[in-house]
Amino acid sequence: MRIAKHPILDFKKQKRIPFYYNGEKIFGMTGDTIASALHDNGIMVYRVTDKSRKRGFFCAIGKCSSCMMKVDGIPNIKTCVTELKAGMHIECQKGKGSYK
Amino acid sequence: MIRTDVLIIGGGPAGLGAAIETTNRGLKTLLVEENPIYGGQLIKQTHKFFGSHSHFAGTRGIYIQDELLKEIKKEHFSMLPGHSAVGIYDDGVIGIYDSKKNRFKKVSAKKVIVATGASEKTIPFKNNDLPGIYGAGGVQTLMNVYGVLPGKKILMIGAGNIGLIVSYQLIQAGADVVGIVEALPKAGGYDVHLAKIRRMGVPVFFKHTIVEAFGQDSVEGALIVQIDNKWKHLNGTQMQLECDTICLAVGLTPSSEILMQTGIKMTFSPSLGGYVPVHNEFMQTSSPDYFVGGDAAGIGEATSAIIEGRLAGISASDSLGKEKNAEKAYKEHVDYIEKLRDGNTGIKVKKGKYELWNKPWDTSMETFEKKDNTIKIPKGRTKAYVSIECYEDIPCNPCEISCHFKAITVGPNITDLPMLALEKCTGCMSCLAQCPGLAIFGINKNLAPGRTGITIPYELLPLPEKGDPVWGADRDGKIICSARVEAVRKNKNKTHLITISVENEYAENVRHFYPGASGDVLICRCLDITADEINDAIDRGYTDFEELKRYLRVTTGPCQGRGCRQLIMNMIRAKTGEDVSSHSTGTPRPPESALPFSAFTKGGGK
Ligand SMILES: Cc1cc2nc3c(=O)[nH]c(=O)nc-3n(C[C@H](O)[C@H](O)[C@H](O)COP(=O)(O)OP(=O)(O)OC[C@H]3O[C@@H](n4cnc5c(N)ncnc54)[C@H](O)[C@@H]3O)c2cc1C
Ligand code: FES
Repeated sequence: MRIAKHPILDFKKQKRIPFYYNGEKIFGMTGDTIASALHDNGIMVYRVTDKSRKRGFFCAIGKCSSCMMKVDGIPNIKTCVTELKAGMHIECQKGKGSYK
Repeated sequence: MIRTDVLIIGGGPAGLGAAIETTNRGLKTLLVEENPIYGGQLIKQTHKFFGSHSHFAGTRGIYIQDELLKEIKKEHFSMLPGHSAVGIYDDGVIGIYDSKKNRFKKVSAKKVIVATGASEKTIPFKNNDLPGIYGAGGVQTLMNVYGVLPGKKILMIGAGNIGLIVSYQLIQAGADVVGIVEALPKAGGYDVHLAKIRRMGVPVFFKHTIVEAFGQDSVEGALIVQIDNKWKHLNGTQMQLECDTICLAVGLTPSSEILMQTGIKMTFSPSLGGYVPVHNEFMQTSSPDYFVGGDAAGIGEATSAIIEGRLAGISASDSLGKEKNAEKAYKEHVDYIEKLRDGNTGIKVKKGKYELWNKPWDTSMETFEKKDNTIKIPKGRTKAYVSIECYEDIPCNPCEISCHFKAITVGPNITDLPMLALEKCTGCMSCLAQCPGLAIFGINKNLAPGRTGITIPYELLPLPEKGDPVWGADRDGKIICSARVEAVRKNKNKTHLITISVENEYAENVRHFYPGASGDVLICRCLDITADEINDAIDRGYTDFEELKRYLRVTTGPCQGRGCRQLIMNMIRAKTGEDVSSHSTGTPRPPESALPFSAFTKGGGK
């Protein structure tokens, strides 16, 4: 959910950009990271570990590796520090990830 | 290979502070910052900082990095955002990674200053990896940098400064904080931060811990339990709380892993938050080539991080022969940092540092004489005045500076409590908007007969408007009376001043307000007639039911007065004190309830 109005911060108006999550077209904003755009779309599960545990992001600053996903076919991308670009294909990562 | 005199790793307050010193001494300085934006923790901190006015106190964190940048000499400075230092190799070469271009680069520097900040601690509980459980820094980044709300109902774990501040920021962003869970019997954070969220009605569960999080794909709730002083769970005290986000604010630990690769001496210091590089008062590590500052050298706060960074910068310059009068350059900063760490809130860090420096520690340094800053208000005082509700020796003095009439004194020791000279206070309320703790309130006993005006520093949306009905809440956020907004004074720094009026007896206790519902009390629902209209008519002399009916047309709607007749009679009785049982209540006429006209024509009646 976007913060529409904030008592202290002025969020600049951004452009909506399309991207794909597990093949489905959704939208984020310019300036988003992949993680912030997914979260805004209500998507919380970014990967499922080998022991079937679901993971979302945790630290949001690229330190903990909780948020790794498959981005444009490449696994293990830290989505909390990767800028969202129009047309990106993001997939929920299984286990340690694969290139397939 | 990139060659530079000084490499600074980390672009938070410590790194920027260091760059000010090295660039102003003509040293070629390169700063690498992992994030695309520099500023470190500052970029998320929407609250006003504590400390001394001369060192950014009263300024919101988000503006401080730009102020620091202004002091850096640009011709000697280059900055690489989006670059992380990933290794320091045996030959002293530093490897950096350009995340945008996905490229590894090498840097050779004469001196390296490490200002990499801290990482967050976590705690073990069942399902602590469930999506929806975030570190407090993660929550702050998501909402204050990217403008996305982490959730709607938040459970905060930890009542240190970070837990308290982030709770407040969550409320500002529009979330509901369902509670704060704290294992200790009292909050580790500043009293003023606690007071701020308490008066907004956030419950704080002291001596409690979280046992488990539950939910299918993400957090749906948590189970918390009370603990005794040996951390044993007390059965029967378990409590389930509904929430969609759990925010962990259980402490920070210095993040200087990269320095460990150089073989410098490290030490474990509980007072400084974990493993820290051994360093001297001027921030030099056990190697003459490496310097450290800020949270990486022990968890502190931003003001001391800036100063430590500056010291590291001076030290590095000194070791390169670029500082002629090092003694003098150090002194100013060393003295200030000592002052910052006075008082109960800073003493832990001070002790940790003294241990590190093998400086003698005198236990008498741990006790502080605390002045009593409560004041008695003389009965006859009619002029407005301020109530300073700041009773803890935190390093802070913007109130003193903000008072044009010199009515508030903190003095040279910025951990001393503010003292109000009531006779000098004009009730101008300038200090309310400057106090970073939002701990000063305005009191005006002369607002209107029987009513006191209370001015509250306010940073929430929506802002009320003059005349709005609101509910007055006490210091625990409990509603205790109705109130009315009397004035809204908007300020450029976005701490606005709202004056509400309450009946005198509540003046000592009301410190917050909740918006009341605007709108009317409807009496006659058929014809939209309000209680105000009826009372007004009675006041104007329509004191009889028949008169009111003719004047306002009450009871003549389709329900034939079923809904309102009794209410109106009561209102007349309440206003006039008359026994109205003898009043005519009008003559209801057929049809008793609304029928279509066609029913009559078809029925053949006349
Ligand atoms: C919620 C909250 C509220 C706070 N409120 C206050 C307050 O009111 N007053 C106050 O004085 N202090 C406050 N603080 C504390 C203050 O923000 C920190 O003490 C201060 O930011 C520490 O500065 P620093 O430069 O050491 O670290 P940081 O600000 O953490 O900066 C470190 C920087 O280094 C970068 N980095 C890390 N590793 C690498 C690497 N390998 N390569 C490149 N870059 C790297 C990071 O990305 C980061 O930008 C608060 C902190 C928090 C979390
Ligand atoms: S959430 Fe921690 S690395 Fe992305």
